[in-house]
Amino acid sequence: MKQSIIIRGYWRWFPPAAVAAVLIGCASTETARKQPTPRADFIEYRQIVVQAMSQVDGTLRALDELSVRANRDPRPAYQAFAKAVHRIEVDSIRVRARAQAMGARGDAYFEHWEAYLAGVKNEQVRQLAEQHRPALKQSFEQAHLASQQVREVFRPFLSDLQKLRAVLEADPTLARIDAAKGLILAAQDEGRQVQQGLDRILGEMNSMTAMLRPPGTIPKR
Amino acid sequence: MKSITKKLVLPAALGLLVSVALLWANPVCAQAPGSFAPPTTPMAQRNAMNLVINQGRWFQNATRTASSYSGRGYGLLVQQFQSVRDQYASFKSTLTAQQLTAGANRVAELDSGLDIIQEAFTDYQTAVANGQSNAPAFANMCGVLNEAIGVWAREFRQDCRQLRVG
Repeated sequence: MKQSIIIRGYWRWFPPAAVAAVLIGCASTETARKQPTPRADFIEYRQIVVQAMSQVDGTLRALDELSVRANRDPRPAYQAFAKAVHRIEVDSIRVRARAQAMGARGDAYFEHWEAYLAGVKNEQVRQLAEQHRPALKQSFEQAHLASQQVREVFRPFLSDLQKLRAVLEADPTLARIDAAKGLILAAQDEGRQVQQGLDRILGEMNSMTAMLRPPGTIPKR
Repeated sequence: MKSITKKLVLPAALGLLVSVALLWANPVCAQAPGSFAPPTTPMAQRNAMNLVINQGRWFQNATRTASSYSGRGYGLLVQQFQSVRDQYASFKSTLTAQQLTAGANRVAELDSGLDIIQEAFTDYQTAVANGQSNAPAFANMCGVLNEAIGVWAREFRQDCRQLRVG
């Protein structure tokens, strides 16, 4: 008898408890969601640009080797060149995607960088970001401009590399390399323009980094 | 005994009715009748994210086997890539306004990444039009697509973590 009274007592609280559980469950789907993490956009972009520079340098070296080795056995040089073209086709996607997004979003892209800087834990960096805001904006605009120029010249560069690979694929001989020298020269010229563009972007990224470094801070290696 | 049963049933029924009514009214937990807005709950986002990742893997598998489809391989890859795009578009519709605002740069980069990967299809057609043999041109395209979607998927997963998806 006593047990059944206790059990009945518990069951009395079930409906309100069910309501409370539903309310808590519904609330937790939204209020418990964590804030998105701000991304160190410009730091990441600098890293990606440095990687892109290394890839373009490697590709141009492989292109030069084709001409250098043409009169001996050009096959190994061709294999290395084909591999470099494949690598740049894939590995350039990140820097190209960022350049394209920057072009699509314009000033709004930079506002996200500002939002990140306004939220960093280091108060000195926050103050430096506020203090150098106009100069940072100018650096961003220069980097943005250089990114668009790199985008414009990268497509013909890649296209000529792919054409060269196709021409030499079946038979990488001195005769074929000689016949393709116009294409080789065009690709080398376009590649140097891409390198110059990436250099300019890196220069602006370095300026931004210097503006935001508190005095006396030792740079990371 | 009967009166005891009645005392239990009535509150329970009332509680159930109230719970259902609250579920129906709550805009977070339920969709109003006639509404076509996709849910933005963590579970919906997690499911959508996993669908994108899986679709990416299927696409990678397709790039490895497409050459064995004698002529139909290109169409298959185009179709599979479009499926990746479609799943990604569905995933974006599960993001909250806060996530879309905070992640606007990331979303723009992911959008651009897919546009750039799609260029591989045009590059293949150009190569063949310029006289390259179909088989090596197709193999080059498959190799690029396979690796490129892997790079994109890694960026996607990283961005999902930073956006606190799911």
